[in-house]
Amino acid sequence: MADEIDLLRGFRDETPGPSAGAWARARAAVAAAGLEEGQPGPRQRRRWPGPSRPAWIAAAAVVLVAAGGAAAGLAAGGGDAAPPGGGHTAAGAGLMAVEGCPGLDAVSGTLVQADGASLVLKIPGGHRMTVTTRASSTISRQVPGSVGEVTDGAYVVVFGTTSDGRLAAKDVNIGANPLPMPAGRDGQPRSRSGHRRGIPRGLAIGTVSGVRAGGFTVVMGGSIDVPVTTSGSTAVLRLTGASVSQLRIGELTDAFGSAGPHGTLAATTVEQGSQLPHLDQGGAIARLHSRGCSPAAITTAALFTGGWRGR
Amino acid sequence: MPADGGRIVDPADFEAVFEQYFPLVYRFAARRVGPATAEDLAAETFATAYRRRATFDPARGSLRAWLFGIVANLVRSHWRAEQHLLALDARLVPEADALEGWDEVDQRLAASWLAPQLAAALAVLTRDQLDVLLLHAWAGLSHEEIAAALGIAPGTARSRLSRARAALREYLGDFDMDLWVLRPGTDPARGGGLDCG
Repeated sequence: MADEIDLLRGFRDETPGPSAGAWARARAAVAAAGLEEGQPGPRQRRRWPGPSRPAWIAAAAVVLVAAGGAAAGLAAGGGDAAPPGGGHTAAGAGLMAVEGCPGLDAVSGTLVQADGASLVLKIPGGHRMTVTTRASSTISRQVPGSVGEVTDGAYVVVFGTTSDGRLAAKDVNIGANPLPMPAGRDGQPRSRSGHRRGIPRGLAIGTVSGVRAGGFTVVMGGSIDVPVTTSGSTAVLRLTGASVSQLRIGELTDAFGSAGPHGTLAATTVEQGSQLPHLDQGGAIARLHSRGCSPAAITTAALFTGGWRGR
Repeated sequence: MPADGGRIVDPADFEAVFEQYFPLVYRFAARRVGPATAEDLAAETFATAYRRRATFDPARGSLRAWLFGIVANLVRSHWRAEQHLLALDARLVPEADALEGWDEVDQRLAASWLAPQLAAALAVLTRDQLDVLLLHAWAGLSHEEIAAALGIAPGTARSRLSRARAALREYLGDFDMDLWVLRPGTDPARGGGLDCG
């Protein structure tokens, strides 16, 4: 029988190995470390063995040039106070194209500026991306809520501990997007059929029913009841509609829409909150396979495929 | 390429170390903090290792433990990102169509189904517990190697790992069947009493 370590070994086991870019980046970092030690004179110069030496040096040069360019771009874009449209990265960098969803791109990062209808996100790698919104854009953020806001039919994610056959809620997230399980590598939906042991403690995800004093029931998959108890220490967060000005600087923010000029994103959807998915891409133009075009489907696919492939 | 028991002095030796261990170190980091951040951390790990290569002492631990110790320390500075990824994993739920096909038995798919639960369980561990647990499960380090990697006593590594495993078991439970109650009208044959939740 598998123990917890066996289960853990299978967790995120599909994470791919390093891309060519990751190899090159690391080679460049080591080469730079070598340079810090001082360039040996020609007579003392050591050779990296074999044919990889030229590749190492070439990769280092390419990455260092790219890094320099990015640094220059950031300098030109200014700091946190950079005006919208001026703080973005090189054209397209940071945007993720979603295959099967024509014209749909996504970006995720930390909100560093919100001005009028525009946002500036700091994305992985330290770059910045300008996101524009329109009146029709759906903007939401997580805000503190109360247990009283948990109503029948609400979709919730509950974390807690089990006690006496009930889930004692520590955190309740109301209105969080349900994230569908992603497709397998063959493009077919993953089946949960292999698992016949049940769901462990501490988590309930589903629709609320039977709200009562001191608790409620979470119905998962339309067929499983999870009794949940709440207390004064239960923390509640709810996803609520917001305006650009209500978004908080410094929080993780995801935006979905279409690529605009100069690497900007014209967003149809913006979501902000500590519990929202964070599209952890590499700051380079990327492409992603997703089963659907909803923000939930995209973020799920991004997480599971590790799927950022430069084009 | 120096064996695990050898020192790394010559840069040529270091390149061999890089070729062998970079994929392992990168993947360890990627599983913890995502591929983008992992690129930074894996690169920094080997840049750091190169700078400090003269200090590597095989008598104090294996080369593998030394490298994973460096990356583990770097990952610790990305605790928030790691917790965020775990929170995201914990939110994954099956789509309605995934409720079909219960008869198939596939360990890999079972692992996928378990991902949200494992993520939620890992999210409640302390940093110290998470470090020792993942160095053991994902990097394959022994108690002694974990101790060398993290610069702690072997007994401390052993006790932390023991506590982390116990916490994980406690959180996962034995899938706590009494918590999951079949709704009236649900076809038991479909889910075998819904023991798969």
